[in-house]
Amino acid sequence: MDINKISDIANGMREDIVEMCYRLGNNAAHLGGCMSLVELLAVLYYGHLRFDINDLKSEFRDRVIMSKGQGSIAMYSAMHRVGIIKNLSEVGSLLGERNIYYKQTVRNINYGIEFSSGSLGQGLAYAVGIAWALKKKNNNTSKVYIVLGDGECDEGSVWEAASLAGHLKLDNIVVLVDRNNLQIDGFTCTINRMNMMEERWSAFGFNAVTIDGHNISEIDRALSFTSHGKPYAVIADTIKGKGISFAENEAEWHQNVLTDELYKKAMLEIRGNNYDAL
Amino acid sequence: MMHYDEKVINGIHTQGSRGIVGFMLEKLSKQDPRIIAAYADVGSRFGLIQKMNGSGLQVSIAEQSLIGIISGLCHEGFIPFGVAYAPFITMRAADQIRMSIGEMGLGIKLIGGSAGLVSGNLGAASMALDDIAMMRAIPNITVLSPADCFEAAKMIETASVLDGPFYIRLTGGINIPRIYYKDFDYRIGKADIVAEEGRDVVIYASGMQVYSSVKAVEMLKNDGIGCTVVNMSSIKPIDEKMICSLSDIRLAISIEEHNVIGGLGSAVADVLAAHSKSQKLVKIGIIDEYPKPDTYENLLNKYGLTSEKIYMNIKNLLQ
Repeated sequence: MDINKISDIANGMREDIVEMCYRLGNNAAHLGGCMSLVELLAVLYYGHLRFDINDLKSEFRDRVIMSKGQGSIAMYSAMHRVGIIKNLSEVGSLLGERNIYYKQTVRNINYGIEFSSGSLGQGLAYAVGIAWALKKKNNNTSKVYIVLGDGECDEGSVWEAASLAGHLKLDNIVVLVDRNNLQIDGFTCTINRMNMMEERWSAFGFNAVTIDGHNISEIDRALSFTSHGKPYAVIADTIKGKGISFAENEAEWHQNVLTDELYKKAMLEIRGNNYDAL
Repeated sequence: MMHYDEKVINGIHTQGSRGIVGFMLEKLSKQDPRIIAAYADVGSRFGLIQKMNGSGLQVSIAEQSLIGIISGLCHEGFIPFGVAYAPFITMRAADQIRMSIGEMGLGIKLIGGSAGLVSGNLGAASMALDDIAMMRAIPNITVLSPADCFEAAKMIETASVLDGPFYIRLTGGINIPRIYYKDFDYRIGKADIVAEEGRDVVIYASGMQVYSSVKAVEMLKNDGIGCTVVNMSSIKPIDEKMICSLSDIRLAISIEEHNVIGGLGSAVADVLAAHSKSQKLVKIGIIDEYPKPDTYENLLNKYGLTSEKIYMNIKNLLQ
């Protein structure tokens, strides 16, 4: 794994995310929860995900379920950086009848979007259905990657499906929990303290591991693990808004408007320039 | 396609409202291995554990997961049926259904058993009296409620060969009276006149209430009142043509084991209003309340859903 290469991809993804969020203008965008996902998705899409760029519906592709709909724009940025989305102009305004890409995914299997997100807590049951179907089809190649938010784990339906995934020993499921510790109303520990996250997933029959979700080699090591007889959960400790000073660890940047000025500031920071010094 | 000779039809009629599900899905899944039955700890009640083998999937008491899982199966090219009791597969999992069927347009097939009042002894928790209202508002879906086991069989078979999403609402219990004796051409969206004794009153009914209506009409006939009974087993899409063609009858009555708000009666009223028909429509059903626990018979009686009560009601309305 070429860490520098992935690091470049991650930087590129951050630019893409800011660009797409800016396009949404006054409609606001989920900047924070996209930034926390960047390294995780960069390593996944560049280093591990099985896909055929010329046949996104290929049976033996890996499936990615963006259950945490607020991470959709981060997913598009990864798809762009690995060439699934050729040009960011294809993403358009993220609104309207004719688009393919929206700020929360709308299922379109022709374009590699497996699931409509936006109603939290629904992706894991869907992933269980896919994982069971793959085994039924004797497809032992494809994995089902599912991205959950830590706030999303408040939803009971996550655990209902987790329990069944463990019971059915669906070892083709990889759960990625983006633990950025923030949700709309503030820090998760003040809202619903999800302590012992790794132990929770273990108790539900998963192999579980906790990693630094911004450390490329740690993510790579975690995703290189092959789970046998159990589904697999990677709890990634991340920072919401990572890489943009005004958004880092700020609940208000769960969804907010990037003004012209903030857009410039964010871009300069990602490119390694200090805006205040200009 | 299944072949329905007299022996098969007789066999179907002995299955009861839930047994028919396992009976049909076993046969259909042998013809098409893409057919899967997923069930939420009710497999034994619907004859699925006994019959489905490798084509069955137990998802535990988790109706929200049930919808998510069959949606994932559908995404992978299977033809999945989700089976549970009606209130739980609809209202409990409404958000999942909204996303799967309404948003993603997935062709999942939902079967809700014990809809209406049949589980009345368990209380309102176990009665589905609002499922039609909720499901009818989901885009893309077909909402059906069979009048007897044979029509249920036809619906299950049809759902298994068509791409779109379905909700099949099963009313009644183990003993289901017959409406259909011979094989017939089943069409979604087509209402069926099952009794034609005159044009004093037209009755729109679905599920078990089709039989109650037919019986009531026989009694009314003896009193010189001629009624037409229409089996509205296709609630969405609804047979607008049929409703319009009968709108010159001075009194229409809808009869259903459902809240009078949002059910079959409301669907008929929508059609009458859309076509500027001034026909009087009386909706008989559950009057916007959740009943206290009681036997099926007592509850049917309470809400005017027995043939005797329907008979009395119509007599009074015509005075």
